[in-house]
Amino acid sequence: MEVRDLDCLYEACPIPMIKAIKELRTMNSEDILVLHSDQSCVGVIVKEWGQENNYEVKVTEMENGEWQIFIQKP
Amino acid sequence: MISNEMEALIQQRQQKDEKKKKSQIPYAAAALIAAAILCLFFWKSNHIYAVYWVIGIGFGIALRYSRFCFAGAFRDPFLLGNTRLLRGLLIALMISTVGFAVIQNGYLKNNTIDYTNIPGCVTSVGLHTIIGAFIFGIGMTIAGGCASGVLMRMGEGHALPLFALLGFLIGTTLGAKDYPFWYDKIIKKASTIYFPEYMDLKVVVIIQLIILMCLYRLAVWYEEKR
Repeated sequence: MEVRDLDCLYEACPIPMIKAIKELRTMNSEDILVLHSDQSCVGVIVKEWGQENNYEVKVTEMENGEWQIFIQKP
Repeated sequence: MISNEMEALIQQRQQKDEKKKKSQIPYAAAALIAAAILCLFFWKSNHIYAVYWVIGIGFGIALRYSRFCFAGAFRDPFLLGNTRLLRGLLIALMISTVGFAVIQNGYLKNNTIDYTNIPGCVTSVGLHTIIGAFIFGIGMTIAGGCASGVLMRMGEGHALPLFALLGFLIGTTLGAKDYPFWYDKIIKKASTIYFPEYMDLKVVVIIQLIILMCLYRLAVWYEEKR
């Protein structure tokens, strides 16, 4: 079970999402990807995408304005 | 529903960063008081400004919590196959079609058609619309949001959209400075089409609603296909 961090701070709204999807394709099942972002919209669209494609997603706000989004491949 | 390993990881990371989170409630209280003071100030000088202020803040709150994004409406169908925002935009267009038709109907009963005074925007359409839209699209993608999204993010507390706001100012100033150029070359020759001059307003509204509903169906079909 591998844990990877993807740092997408300071990048505009769709970019963290695209990078996360690309990165998830290269990971094995049961791996966790942690996406760092400072946009509030990224959490919501990743959650929606996760519900559609059956990934587990949890969004937490570690620091004020910086979100960490945990995505686990099924 | 979250697996145990993910819970454990989150717990572990949260314990490490426990102390970093500062409470932002003092800032929120200060902003609220400042907004209330400005509201009173507007009320004293000109009543309508206070109404605009409150409605504007209301729009911002609604945009923030509904996560509505104009840029996302056109970007998500291509990027993610998700047409939720596009469908929301179509519904908003339907509602504003009906709303503006009602307002313009009320206006036209008493006044003649004069393009500069009709509520709602009646201007010419032509090559300049296409060029402007293209430039706007490029800027929108780079800034990561449309005008409303940028302003909403600034209200949320982001500092980066300030540069986008600077871009607004530079852009509109340059546009105003160069307006004679565009006017002579393109806008003068473009025509203004205002449908109620040719047919009854109700017919126009019904046709536009039918077109928007067909687009809505298309969006639903597209999403189910993916």
